[in-house]
Amino acid sequence: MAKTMLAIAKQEGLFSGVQIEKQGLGFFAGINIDLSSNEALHLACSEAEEIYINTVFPSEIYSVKTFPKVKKKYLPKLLLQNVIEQSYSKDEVGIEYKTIGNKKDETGVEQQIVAYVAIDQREIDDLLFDFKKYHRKIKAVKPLPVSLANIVIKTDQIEADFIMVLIGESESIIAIASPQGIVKVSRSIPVGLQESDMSVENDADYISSRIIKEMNRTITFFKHEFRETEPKAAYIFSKQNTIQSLSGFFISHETMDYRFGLNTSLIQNYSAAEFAENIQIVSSALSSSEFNFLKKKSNKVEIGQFLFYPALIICILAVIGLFVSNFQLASNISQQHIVLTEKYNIARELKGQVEDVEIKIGKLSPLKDWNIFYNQTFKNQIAWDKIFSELAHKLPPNIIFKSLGIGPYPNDIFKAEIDGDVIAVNWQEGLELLREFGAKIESSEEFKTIDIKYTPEGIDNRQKNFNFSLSLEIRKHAI
Amino acid sequence: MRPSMMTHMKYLVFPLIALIMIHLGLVHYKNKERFKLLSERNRQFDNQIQRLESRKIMALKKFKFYISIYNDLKPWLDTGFEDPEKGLVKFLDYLSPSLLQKVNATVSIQNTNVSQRQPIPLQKSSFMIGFDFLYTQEIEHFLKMLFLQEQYPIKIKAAKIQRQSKKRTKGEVTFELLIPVNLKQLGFEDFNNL
Repeated sequence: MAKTMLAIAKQEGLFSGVQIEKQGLGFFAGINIDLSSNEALHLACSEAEEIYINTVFPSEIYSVKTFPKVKKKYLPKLLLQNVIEQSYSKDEVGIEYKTIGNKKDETGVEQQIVAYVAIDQREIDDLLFDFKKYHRKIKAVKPLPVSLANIVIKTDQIEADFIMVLIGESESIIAIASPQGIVKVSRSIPVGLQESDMSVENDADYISSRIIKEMNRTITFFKHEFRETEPKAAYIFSKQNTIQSLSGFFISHETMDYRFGLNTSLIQNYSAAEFAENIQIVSSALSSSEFNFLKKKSNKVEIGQFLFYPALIICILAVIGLFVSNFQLASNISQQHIVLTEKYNIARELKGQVEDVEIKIGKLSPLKDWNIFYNQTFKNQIAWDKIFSELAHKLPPNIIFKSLGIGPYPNDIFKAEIDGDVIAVNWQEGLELLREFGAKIESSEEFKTIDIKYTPEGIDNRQKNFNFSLSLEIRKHAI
Repeated sequence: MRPSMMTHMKYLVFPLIALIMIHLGLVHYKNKERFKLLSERNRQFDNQIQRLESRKIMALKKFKFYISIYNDLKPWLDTGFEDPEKGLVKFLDYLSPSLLQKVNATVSIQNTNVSQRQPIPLQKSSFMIGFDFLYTQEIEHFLKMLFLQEQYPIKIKAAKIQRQSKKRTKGEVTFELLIPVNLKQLGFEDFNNL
């Protein structure tokens, strides 16, 4: 089934393209399309199924270097590190590489030889910006020298390093590549050749000599940088009209074989000369898939696009969460403030009340001692108005008091000591009288018996006489 | 606008959000610290209020105790006091002949105006009164008049009664008259306002 491909080249700031049909028999090209206007570019892109782009990126770096043999996944980091050393920043660089061989260093450690191309990612992004509606159709974005070298090795038998010169109208590209199609050196020079120049022999001569001079300078740099012999073949690409005229200025010699075109064409309906004339355009579609700078960017863009909005939503949700949390916290703080103020007022009021009461207590406190004094004096008196009558009332006729002593006892109590005699007809009756008196005293509300001592006296007398001594506590309620 | 610029500008939103989040985070941290501080202050106030309430209860209890003392003492305090010297001579006047004669009492003053600080500053005068009587009512009336009054604070040291004959009884009582010295300085008149 046929497939419509659009091969595009951006040279000197302008797009040009060729529509290529891929059929069972091979590739068939249409006419060249001028894509310098947006309308033409969009029309061509909308008609194409696949888009391939070639251009020269100002920031292109080509390098072939030896690196320690590491696992495949660590190699990009090594390369990135190597590129960063050449003044790129980590986020701004796109790298494509190919391992082209292995070798051992002086110590016998295995090394790998890697060819890589590094481009400022922003330049790739800027290029793709013009194709933002057709991003899914774009299959390749390649550096022009890489595509050219790849086509050269596909169409010609190459055995040694070769130099390519693509002469534009105001700018030319000089690149040196290996027989495997690895570009080792590439540079743009602000020298071009327009058809009008060809009519003036001096101009053509001057420009040719400039180009040859720049080629020699490039070869010198290459020889110095890679320690290799100079390229054996030089491919000069330009428009058919100019290329025929130019051939007179580039004279092949022993070390350099100048070739003004390719041996064959990879497009069925193009002659070899037509193919060589349009090589900067069609090479984008026909070269191998190596050193394609679209893929990584595409993934990066897709991953970036895919992650951007969820990440943004998560961030916004986090901000909202924090904001709500802050709001709640602020509300809680304000609540705490209100409670604190209330508690402060309560505490202040309570403190005032307590201090007020304590001041009053302070004023009243001397009363404590006055109360002690009052209790020790006025309140600590015996019932002087009735204790004698009470004792007299309890006293039986045959018991006679001789003396009564009253004095203070510990704990503000008064003690009474009574001495007296019991007179009876016999000892038994005397004892009964004394017990009766003791019982009456004990039942009294005024007294409490502490001790009773009695001694019989005059045993041989007719009248029986007890001497007694009574210790009494004068009860408190009597005080 | 070139995509490289657009992409860069698009991703600028993240540092911006990060800045907002840092700011909100700082505000959150600050608020959280403030909240913790306020909660701590609230707890302190709770404790303080609790302490003040128990202090108030204790103070009111004490106040009521003193008020009850005051109410007990008020009638006595309201009688008023003179200075100690005047109090002593007034007491001597109180020991009127009419009172003493009924029990043939003899009064001797042993020590006068001895200062004492406890329980209150006062001046102490020691007395001894001897007496004799026939009926218990006579001595009871005498002792009641002497000791059971609320004008002259008296502390009994000793009392002794001895039977002399079949009819009469002799006795003596030693006591201290205690006159407060600084009653006027207490400002008891203020208590009525409490």
